[in-house]
Amino acid sequence: MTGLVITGVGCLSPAAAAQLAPLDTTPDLGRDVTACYPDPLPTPRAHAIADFDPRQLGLKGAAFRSRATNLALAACGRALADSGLLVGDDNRGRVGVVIGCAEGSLKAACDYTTVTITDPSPRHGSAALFPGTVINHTAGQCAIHYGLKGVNTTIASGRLAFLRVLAYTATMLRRGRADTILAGVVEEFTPQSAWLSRLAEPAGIQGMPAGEGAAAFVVESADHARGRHVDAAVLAVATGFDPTGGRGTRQLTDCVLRVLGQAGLGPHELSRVITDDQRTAAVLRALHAPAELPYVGLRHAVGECRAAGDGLLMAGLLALHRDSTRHDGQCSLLVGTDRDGGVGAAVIQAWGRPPGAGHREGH
Amino acid sequence: MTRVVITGLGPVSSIGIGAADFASALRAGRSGISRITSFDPARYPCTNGGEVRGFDPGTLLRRIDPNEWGRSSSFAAAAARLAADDSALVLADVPPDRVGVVVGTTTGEPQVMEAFARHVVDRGLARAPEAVGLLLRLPTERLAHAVSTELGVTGESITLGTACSASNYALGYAFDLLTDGMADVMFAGGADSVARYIHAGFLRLGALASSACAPFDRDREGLLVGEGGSMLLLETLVHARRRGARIYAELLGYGLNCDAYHAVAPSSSAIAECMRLAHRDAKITAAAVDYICAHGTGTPTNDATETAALREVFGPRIPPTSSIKSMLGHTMGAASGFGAMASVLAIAKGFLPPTINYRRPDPDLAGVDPVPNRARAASPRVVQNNGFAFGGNNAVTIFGAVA
Repeated sequence: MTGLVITGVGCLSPAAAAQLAPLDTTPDLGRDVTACYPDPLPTPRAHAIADFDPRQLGLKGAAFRSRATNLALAACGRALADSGLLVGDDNRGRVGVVIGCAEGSLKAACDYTTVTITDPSPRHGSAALFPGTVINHTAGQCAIHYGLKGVNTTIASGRLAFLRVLAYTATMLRRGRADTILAGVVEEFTPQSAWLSRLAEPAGIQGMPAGEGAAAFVVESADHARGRHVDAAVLAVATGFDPTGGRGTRQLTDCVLRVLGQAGLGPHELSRVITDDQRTAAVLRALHAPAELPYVGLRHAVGECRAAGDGLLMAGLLALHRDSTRHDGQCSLLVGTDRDGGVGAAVIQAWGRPPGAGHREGH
Repeated sequence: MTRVVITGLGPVSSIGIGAADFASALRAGRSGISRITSFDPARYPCTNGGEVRGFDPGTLLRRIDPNEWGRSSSFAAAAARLAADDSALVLADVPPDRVGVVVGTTTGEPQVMEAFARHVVDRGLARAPEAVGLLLRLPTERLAHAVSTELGVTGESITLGTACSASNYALGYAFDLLTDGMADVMFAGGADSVARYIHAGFLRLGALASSACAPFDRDREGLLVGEGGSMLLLETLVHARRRGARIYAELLGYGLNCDAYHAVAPSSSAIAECMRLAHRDAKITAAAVDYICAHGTGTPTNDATETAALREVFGPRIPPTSSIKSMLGHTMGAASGFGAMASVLAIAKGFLPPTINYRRPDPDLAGVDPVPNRARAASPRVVQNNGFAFGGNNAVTIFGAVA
C-alpha cells in the first residue's frame, strides 16, 4: 500500500459531463475548431475546451503564459479549493507541485523559434516569452501563483504522464520530501499539438481527433490528510518499460501483477478497469479476470489528450464516486501505455462526498 | 539503510567523451568552447558555445539507430553505454526490471523542434505530414526511452524536465528508487543539445557572454550555451560490492525545493534552504563539506545569488567552490550531471577542477575561493553539487568518499 490519499481534484475537460464508457463507444468527433486558430488544422473538429478564458483566473500575466500553463493553473486552483488545504508560511515549504506534460507548450517553443528564423535582427525574440518555451514553466508558475515552495518537478511524458506523476509523487511523499503534493497533468489544443497528435500518436494516426485538458489532484499521506475529505486512496502504483517498443504485453502484465500484489487484490475484486489501451483486456483475461469486468475510458468524449488523458480518466473516476455513496470502497485498476514502450498501472479505491454524508477522514 | 554508490561515468561532452578523457580534461582545465557550427552564429554578438565535437553515435550505440532518435536522445543513450562500460557492469547479469533510467533535460530535442519550425516556415503547417519523421523524434520523453531501449532494460524510464538542475533531480530520483528497494541499478543524468533559439533567447535575456564564460570573475558577462549527455551509473552498495565494482564515491543524499518567486530571477534564501535540505538528507553538517561544484553559470546574477546563499549556509568559511561551466559552457539539463561527475572524480582522484578564465576577483564575492585556472590536488571527503534553474527549480546533491 502506498498509504497515500487524494483529498481534492480540479479538472478542466472538453467534455466535463462525459462519463466513463466502454472502450468501443463510438467516438465523438468534437466541436468545430476551425475558428480557434488562424493556422491549418488536421481535422475541422476536435476536443478543444470551449469558453476557457485565462483572465478569469485572476492571475496577472495571462498573456505571457501558454494555454497549457493557464489550464494547469486553473486545475491546480480548483484542486486546492476542493481539498480545503490551507497554504501558509507554516507549511508552504512542505507543499510541492509535480506536473506531467509532453512538451509543455510546443506552440510556445515553435512560435519563439519561428521568430528567430524569420526576424533577421540578432536580438530577435521576446525576453518575456523565452522562459515559456521551457517545459518546466508550468510547474514554476503554479508554485509562484499559489505560493508553494516544496518539491517542484516537471515530468516530460506523453500518454503515461499521469501514472509517472503518481509514481514520483508516491516516492516523494514516502521519503518525506513533502507532506502534500499537487499532482497534475496538462495538454493544450493548438495547431502544433494537433498535428503532432495526428501524425505521431497511435490513436491520432487512426483518426482520433486531438483534445486538451488539465487535471490536478491534492495527494498526501493518510496521516497528514486528517481533517480533510478523502476522495480516494492510491493503493498501488507501478511503471515500467518495454524495450521492444511496446509490441509485447509482458511488461504490461508484470505491471498489473505488481500493483494487484501491492494492493493485496485479485482481479475479481476490481469493480472496473479504466484505460484507453485496447490491449488491457487481453492482459486481464490472461490473468483470469472475470468476463464481466468492465473496461471503460473517456477518449470517446475527449479525444487524444496525450499527457492529460489519464488524468482526465482519474478525474472521471472520482466524479463517478463523488455525489453518492453507491460506489463507496470500490477498487478500480488504471492502466496506461505509451508509444515507445512505457507501461504503468495503479489501483485506486474511492468514496463519495455527498452533501451531509459526514466527514471521511484519512485511513 | 540501503546505501547508493556511483560506479560508472558516461560523459559525452565538449571536453571529452568517456570517463578517462573527461577526467583528464577537467584536471587540465581544458576549454570545450568553440565557434558554433550547428547554426550560423555570425549575426549574433556572441558566436561561441560548448558544442560536442567528434560525436559519432553509430560507434557508441549498439541497439538503437540514431536516425530514429534526436541528438539529445543519442547523447543520453551513448552516455549510458559509456557509463555501463566504465562500470564493467555486465547488464545481462542484472534482471532487466531491476534497472531503471532517469534523464533530466531543459529543452529535450530542440534541434528537431527547430527543423520542424523551419519546415513550417518554408512550406506551411498544412504540409506537416511531410515532416512526420521529425514529429516522431520530437517528444521530450524519448530521451529516457532511448536509454532504456538501447540498454534493453524494463524498469522505470522517465525524463524529468526540470531545466538547468534536471540531472540533480534525476540523480535524486534514482537515489530514492534504489534506497526504496525498487531497483538495484539506475542510470541517471541529463542531456541537451545546442540550438539557435536557445542561444538567441539567453542573448535576449541579457544572460549571454560575448566570448568566454568567466564564473565568479569581477567582469563576468554571462553564460555560453553548451550541450552533451551526462549519465552516471548508480547501484546499491551491496550490489556493487557483490560484483567487486570499482566505486568512485557514494551519493549521500539530496535536497529539492522551489523559489516560488520569479520565472527567471533566483532567490538566495530559497537556494540556501535547498542546501540545508541536502545536508539534512545526507546527514552531514555544512562544516563537513570540503568542496562545492557550483552551479556557477557566469552570469552576474547567478554567481552573486549563489555566493549569498553560500554565505548564509557556510558563514565565513565557504569551502573551495569552482564552476566547470567555465570549461563546458552551460550544458543545460546535463549540467549538474557533469557536476556530479566532477564531484565524484574529485573524491576518487584527489583533485578539485578549476574555474578557468578567472582574471579578477570580484570584491562582492569575497570569501569565495573559485580554484582559479588550475586544478588543485586535494582529498575532499564530502562534496556538494549545486543545480538551480528557471522557475526556481533548485536541486543539490551531496557525495561522499566510501568509508
